[in-house]
Amino acid sequence: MNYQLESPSTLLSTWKSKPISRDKLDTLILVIACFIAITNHFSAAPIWVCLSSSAVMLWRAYLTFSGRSLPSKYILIPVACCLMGGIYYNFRSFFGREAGVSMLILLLACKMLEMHAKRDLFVIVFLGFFLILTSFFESQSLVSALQVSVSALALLLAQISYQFQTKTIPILQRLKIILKMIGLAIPLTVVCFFLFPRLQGPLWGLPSDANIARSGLSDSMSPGNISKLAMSEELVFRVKFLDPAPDKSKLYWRAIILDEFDGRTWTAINKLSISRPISPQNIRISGKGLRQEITIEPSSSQSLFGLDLSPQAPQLIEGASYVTRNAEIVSPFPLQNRTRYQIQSYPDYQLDLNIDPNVQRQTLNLPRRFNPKTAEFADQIRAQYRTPKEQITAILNYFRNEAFFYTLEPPALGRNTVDDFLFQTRAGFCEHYASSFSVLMRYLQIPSRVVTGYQGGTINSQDAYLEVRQSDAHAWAEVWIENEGWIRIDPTAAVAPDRILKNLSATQKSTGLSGLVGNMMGQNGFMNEIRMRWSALNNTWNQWVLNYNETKQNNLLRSLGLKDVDWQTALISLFLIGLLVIGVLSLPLIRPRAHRTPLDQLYLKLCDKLQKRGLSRSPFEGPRDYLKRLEPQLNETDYLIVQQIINHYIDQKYGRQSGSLTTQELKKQIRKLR
Amino acid sequence: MKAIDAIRLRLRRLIFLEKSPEPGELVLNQRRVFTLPSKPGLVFLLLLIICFLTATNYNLNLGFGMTYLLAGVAVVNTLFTYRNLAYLKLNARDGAAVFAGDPAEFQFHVKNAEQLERFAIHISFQQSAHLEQIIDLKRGEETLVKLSCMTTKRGPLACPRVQLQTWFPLGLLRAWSTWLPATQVLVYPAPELNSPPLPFIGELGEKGNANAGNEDYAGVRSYQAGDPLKHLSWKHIARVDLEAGGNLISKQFDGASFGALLIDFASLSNQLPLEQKLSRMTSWILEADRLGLPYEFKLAALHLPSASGENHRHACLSALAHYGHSRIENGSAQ
Repeated sequence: MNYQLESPSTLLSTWKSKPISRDKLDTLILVIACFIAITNHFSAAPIWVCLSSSAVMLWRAYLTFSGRSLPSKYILIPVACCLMGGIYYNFRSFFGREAGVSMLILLLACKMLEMHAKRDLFVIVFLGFFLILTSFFESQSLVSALQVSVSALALLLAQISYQFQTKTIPILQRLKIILKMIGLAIPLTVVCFFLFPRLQGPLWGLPSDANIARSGLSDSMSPGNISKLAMSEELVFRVKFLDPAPDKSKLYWRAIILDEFDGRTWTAINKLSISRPISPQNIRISGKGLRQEITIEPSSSQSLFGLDLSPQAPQLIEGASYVTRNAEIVSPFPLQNRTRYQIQSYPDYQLDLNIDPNVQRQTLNLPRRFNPKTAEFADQIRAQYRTPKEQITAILNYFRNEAFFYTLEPPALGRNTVDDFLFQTRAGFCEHYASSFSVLMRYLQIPSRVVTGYQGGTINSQDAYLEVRQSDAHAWAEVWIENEGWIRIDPTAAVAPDRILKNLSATQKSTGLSGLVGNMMGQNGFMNEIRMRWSALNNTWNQWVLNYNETKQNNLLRSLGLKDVDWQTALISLFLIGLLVIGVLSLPLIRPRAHRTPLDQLYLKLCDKLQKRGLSRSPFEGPRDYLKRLEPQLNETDYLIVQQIINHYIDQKYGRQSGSLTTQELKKQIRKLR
Repeated sequence: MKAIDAIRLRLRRLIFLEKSPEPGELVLNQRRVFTLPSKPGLVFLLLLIICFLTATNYNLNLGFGMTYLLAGVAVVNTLFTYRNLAYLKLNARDGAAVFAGDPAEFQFHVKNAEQLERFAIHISFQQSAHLEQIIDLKRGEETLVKLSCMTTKRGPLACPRVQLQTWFPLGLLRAWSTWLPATQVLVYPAPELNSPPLPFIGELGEKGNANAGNEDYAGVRSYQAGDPLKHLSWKHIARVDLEAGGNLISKQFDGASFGALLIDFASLSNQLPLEQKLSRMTSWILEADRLGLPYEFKLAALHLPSASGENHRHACLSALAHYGHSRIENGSAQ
């Protein structure tokens, strides 16, 4: 039995050879459709949820096949309670995204065992629809889109199967009807997708685990963090420059300063939430300010952005933000809504001319018994060069001249990460360069720290906004120099100037493509070609499907000539236009008033009059027959009038034209009839 | 209350075109097919809203895509459901007469003249929607649908309003149409149970004997034209040598010689209620017909001379059915 279930092809052949009853077939289709819907979650849901839901499905299929009745509630309720207990044991809660999805899976599976009326079928199918929607929490890739399409198709097939009443329709024919419907629905879907008004989410506070999959800068950095971000095309913020925009190479958006190194991970010693505001005398600015308007996308982060360096924190609608001692700009609460603010930056700045001794001690601190080779190397440099500036130049030259590579997929590093990187692998990403540079500086007794943030961005050709995405995440270093304060040094620029001048993707022509398929591909040319195509396809998918949002919708509408659509008026006008169109379309439905000759009107008037007396004319009756039938039922005077009129009608209508009476006179006669 | 009911009836007639009986063929055109979401359809709408909100809240673009696809399928479903019912051709014909208390059967021809296969069309009388017939129609197929309803009163029974509805293909929407065919079934009065013996002329005073006499077997004679077929004595016929001429033999009853049979409304006691009188006459007609006896029939102005056979029986019974109803009135009644 189980064997049959697992291979649909055998099932199909059994159907052909020995037709099973319609009810069984329909139920089987439903079970399979729900199973497919559940498989979408197998990668993310806990294993026991997958296994138990599959087991319940198999049980249901077995009951269907063997024709046994569904389990009684005395069996069902304990089973359901056990499963719910499992959920609570696993998640410690019934709420939240993951627990909710697992609940839904088990609910769907158990509902299969409790099907008694047609209503239950709809409940199951609708639950299934919602369940496959929730699989988008995990992934929205092209592959999962295909997977979900198959599930939706199966569920629709199950739904239509139950609507046939009298005879068994071949599955292919059912499929044909469903595919026809979907085919007709697709243009509508596309139009809705691009034009249906989007609301700005989130609508309510996201559950605490809603952001696990969401990427962003964190307040620690260990190898691999930022390269993960680089895979994400998610928008972080948009910038509108109110003054002429600076060069791309100067677009450094500072977010989080990491000043503590434990040999492997850089962390911020003062978490953003508890850091102290900066005192104004620590910043000296000169030159002209550069005003920007920045719109941050919703996230769970508290960082605000501004070009280096912004001494004044912006005023947000919800409350005041502040600039920390490290010149980070911080909002006191997570920015869960899209936030817009204006900020002024001064590219010529001096930060911390008089360094706090605590800060100096902190930014020189190094873990012991790590990276001995790096320490030796630092000693060599110090022996050759005197001033900190010369030493910095020497190290940057070292990065530039030795065989360092810039890659998103660096080899793994051992215990001494900086040693391994500087002298063995020599391949890494911005975080490797920033980290090793800062460590070297500290060995040289120059205070230094790692800055994470974003660099660059892409100018949107539509609206000339600068868009900064997660893939623009970057890490660089800051060193403190006597009389100059903290200055920014970007060692990555020494190795991969393209990264700074152009974009991340420019440096990643042949390596570092994401995706399931990409990893399976080998290195030969043909495969490479396919991989590029796959990547381009994924990119298009990302650009057009996944990144389509309210702003892009507005851009699209603007390019269609609709500027600043106000949805309220748009809806009202759409409604009015629709009303008008439907009104015009329905005009033919209104019964036209038949154009009648005065003679016909006269005759019909007479018939109406007689109908009121209960002597209505039958539809098949001609005037002569009608008159004949009326004869015994009317009194003398009335009959004479009626006879006169009907005879006149017959004469005028069907033959002798010579009427002795006018219509007007006859009308008067009719009025005489009571 | 009455006024509200009247307005509601008025509105129904206006919106759903529930008008007077329609003779002849009917095509379910655009104006006659109505659609409204079914209960699952409303739940589906709720599902769409939930999906939309979820997609908005978690910013799931594919969630939007799926929601719109489902909404699109629901819209297409509207068209499909409508199309499943629209442009059917309907014909009705008068049904066979029945006795009051028996089910009256009406027959309808449903024809699918379109190049389109239709499924799961439910046909029933509007008044008893649970007694429905479900039909599928292939391209160009025509089906005969029989619906019956219980009868209570004698007289012509106009066909009740017929309702056609369908939920196909997804069950989210109900498309329906109603039709009042201008056909009728004649309902004879219900025959009286345990009615008194047949009223033979001359035997009116001795009812007890008349019945016995009627049933008394008196012998056989060779068949003569006019002898009722029911009186053939098959036992004798089987015994007679066929070579000797193969004559048919019919049984003779004493009662048959009691003279003519007159079923007369006026002869019944005035104490009896009208319907019982008609019922009694009905059962007499049936009994006389069963025995094959000719009978004379008198009802008010109507006088049918003594005869027997199917046509005579029908003439008498329909006179009874119509008694007190004016035919014209019946024609225009809804």
